[in-house]
Amino acid sequence: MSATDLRGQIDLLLLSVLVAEPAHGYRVIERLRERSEGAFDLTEGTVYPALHRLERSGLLESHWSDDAPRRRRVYAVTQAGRGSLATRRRDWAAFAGAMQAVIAQ
Amino acid sequence: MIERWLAEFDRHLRVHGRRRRRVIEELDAHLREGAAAHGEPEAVRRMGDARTVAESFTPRAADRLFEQRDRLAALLMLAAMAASLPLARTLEQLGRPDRSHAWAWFLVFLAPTAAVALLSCLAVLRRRPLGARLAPLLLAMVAVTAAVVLLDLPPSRAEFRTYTVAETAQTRVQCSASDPGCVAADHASEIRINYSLGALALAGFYLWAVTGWTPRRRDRRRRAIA
Repeated sequence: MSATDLRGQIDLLLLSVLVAEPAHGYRVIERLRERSEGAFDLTEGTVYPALHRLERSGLLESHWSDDAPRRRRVYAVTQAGRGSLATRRRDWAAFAGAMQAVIAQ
Repeated sequence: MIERWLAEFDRHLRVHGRRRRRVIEELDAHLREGAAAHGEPEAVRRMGDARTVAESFTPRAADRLFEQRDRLAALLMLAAMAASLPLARTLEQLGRPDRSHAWAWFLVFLAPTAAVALLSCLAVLRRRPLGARLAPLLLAMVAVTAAVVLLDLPPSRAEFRTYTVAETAQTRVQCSASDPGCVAADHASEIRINYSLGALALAGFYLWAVTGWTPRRRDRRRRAIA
């Protein structure tokens, strides 16, 4: 599934992946792929701008981590991000439920 | 290959200063990690077109404004607090001739709300979670303060009585109003209503801007739980 198909839902996906555990961009992409069993194979060119946008909005925070052999920017969900994620999850559940009700008939 | 991609990206990136250096450093580290795992061509292919990626890092003006709404609200709150300092000075000056300490008690009553507002604003400006956590408390404190002032409860009652007496004396000296007491009482009411309702509206706006909370959203959550 491409970024175009996921338009409008990338923020929800990124917040959901990062709320469990802080991670760097490369790991975020891997987790998205793993959790969706390969369905969401987003490119870095889509994920990084979205991570930066979420950070500018105050939903994510980040710091450089020197633990690994390579220097990495690690992202974590802020308190405001958790609130936003809860709202987005509810909105998505309502939307998916309504869609299912229509297309199942 | 990575250098070529980064040079192209750098040419089209419309982000400046520290953030620019950070974006480039981050993508550089990512590309090298990808290249180590899958080879340079695959790492560059996965990153996508350099120009398109660079453009997607450039926020639109409207987006930028919305993203900074919490900081703008914090600045607005600080400006409103600074703008009300002359009123505090006026209250102190009017209370001084009859050696009344009502103004001091009134300011002590307002101090915790002002302290919470200041702390929250500074935390929001530094994007600390404490700022959003304090916003609901601030709205509750402003609501209590507004209720005390509007319902003429202590310590607001004594302060506005002192204010009205002092203002009546001043109006009598300065102009020939038919009823100076009535003019002074009008001024006191204006101050109470304007400042109380203004502070309440500002605290509500601040809560929305900082946390995204609205009464409608809370109702929706309640319905979902039900």
